[in-house]
Order: sequence, then C-alpha cells, then structure tokens
Amino acid sequence: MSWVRTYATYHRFSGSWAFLGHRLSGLALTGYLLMHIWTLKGLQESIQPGVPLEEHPWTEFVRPYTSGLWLFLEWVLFSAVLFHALNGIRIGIVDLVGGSKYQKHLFWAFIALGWLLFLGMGWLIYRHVLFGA
Amino acid sequence: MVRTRAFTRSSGSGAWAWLFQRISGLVLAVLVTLHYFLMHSNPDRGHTFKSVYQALTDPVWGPWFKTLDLTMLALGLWHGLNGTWNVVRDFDLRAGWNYALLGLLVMAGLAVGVLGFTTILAF
Repeated sequence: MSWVRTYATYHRFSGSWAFLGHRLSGLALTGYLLMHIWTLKGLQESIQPGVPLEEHPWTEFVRPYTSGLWLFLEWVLFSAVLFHALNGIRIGIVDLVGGSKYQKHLFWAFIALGWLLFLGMGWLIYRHVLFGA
Repeated sequence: MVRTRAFTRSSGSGAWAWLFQRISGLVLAVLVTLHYFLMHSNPDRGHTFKSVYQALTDPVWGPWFKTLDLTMLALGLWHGLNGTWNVVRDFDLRAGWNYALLGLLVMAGLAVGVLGFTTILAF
C-alpha cells in the first residue's frame, strides 16, 4: 500500500490534515445548506382557515428526521459544522492577526473545544430520548 | 492587521473575495453554532410547523429571528459557493469547464437564495 505511505507522509503535519478536513467539511456543508433550504420550502404552504397549527402538513413531513438514524446524523452533522467553524476561526487568526506562531497549539485547543461542544450538543439532542420529555 | 491600501489597489485580483470569505466565515462560525443550539433547545424547536410559526411571528423576537435567518442565508450561500469555486479553481481545469461550473454555482445560489428568502419572508 504505497499510496497510504505517500499520503501519510505528505500529510505529516496537523495543518495539512486541517486543510483537507476544511475542504471536505466545507463541500459537505454547502451541499447540506442547499438541501436544507429546499427542505424548508414546504413552510411556505399557507395555513388553512380552521385548521390548527399542529395539523400543518410540514410537521408530518419533517417527523421522520426527528428520530432514529436521522437524529443521529443531525448530531454527526454538527461535528462538520464545528470542525469547519473552529478551524475557520483558526484560519482567521492566522491570516488576519498573525497567529501563525501558535497555529498548531490553536489546532489542538480547538479540537478539545470542539469535543466539548459536540458532547454538549449530544446531551441537548438526546436528553429527551434518554430521560423523557 | 489587514492593510487597507493593499486591498484598495488590488481590484480584480480576488483579494476582496478572499477577505470577505474570512469575514463572512467568522460571522457564520458564531451564527451557525448559535442556530444549532437554538434549534435543539427543545425537541419541537424548528422541527414542528407550530414552533417555527410561533418563533417567526413573535411580536418581539420574530424580526430578530428573521434577520438572523436572512443573514445566515445570504452569507452562507455566498461563503459556501465561493468556497466551492475556490476548490474548482484549484483543480486547474480548462477555462470552458471553469466557466460552466461557475455558471452552475451562480444559478444554484440565485435559485436557492430566492427560495430561502421567500420562505422566511412568507411569515
């Protein structure tokens, strides 16, 4: 598996992996954003007179995405958001306020902060499932 | 700090797009993280029509949520599609491919942007 070695050698430093992760998460989030807006277009359906808010068809439309695998993927999506957001802040610090001297420390500090926020989001998303509403 | 003079003298170089990619990114990093926490503050939030309707038509908070959503929509689409365009250019494709893909990105941005704006302003 020589390409594994080439790949691992080329991406020897954290910044190189950060670059790759930033691009991949960025493309994934752009795809998600387009899908996200498309999914929400059903909100434009006007409210029928006499029909309560609870019975609007959009609620039924999103229901499958609020449990099971989709709920888990919503949590996983947050890891892409966090990686891209925190690494983006690191890029901003390097590019705009001379952070290149401590960019590697920043990388690991943000990885730690990212894990904290990710686990916090896990608690928010799953507390109702685990402990009841 | 960013040197203003260097920027004002560099029209057409992509320097403004580079700088605005940073600025929009820093704003989005805060707003999108906040959006994610808000939308999961309880299981209904953003996941039933009633909760979306009540938030966006709230006499006090409604205009703020709409402003937040419209800002994220405009900055997010521009940031994401400009980032995709940066990735496209790094592949060093032939000019025809570049312009075809640029056209596709611009059209996707306009179409989805209009769809998003009309959805939020429908409330």
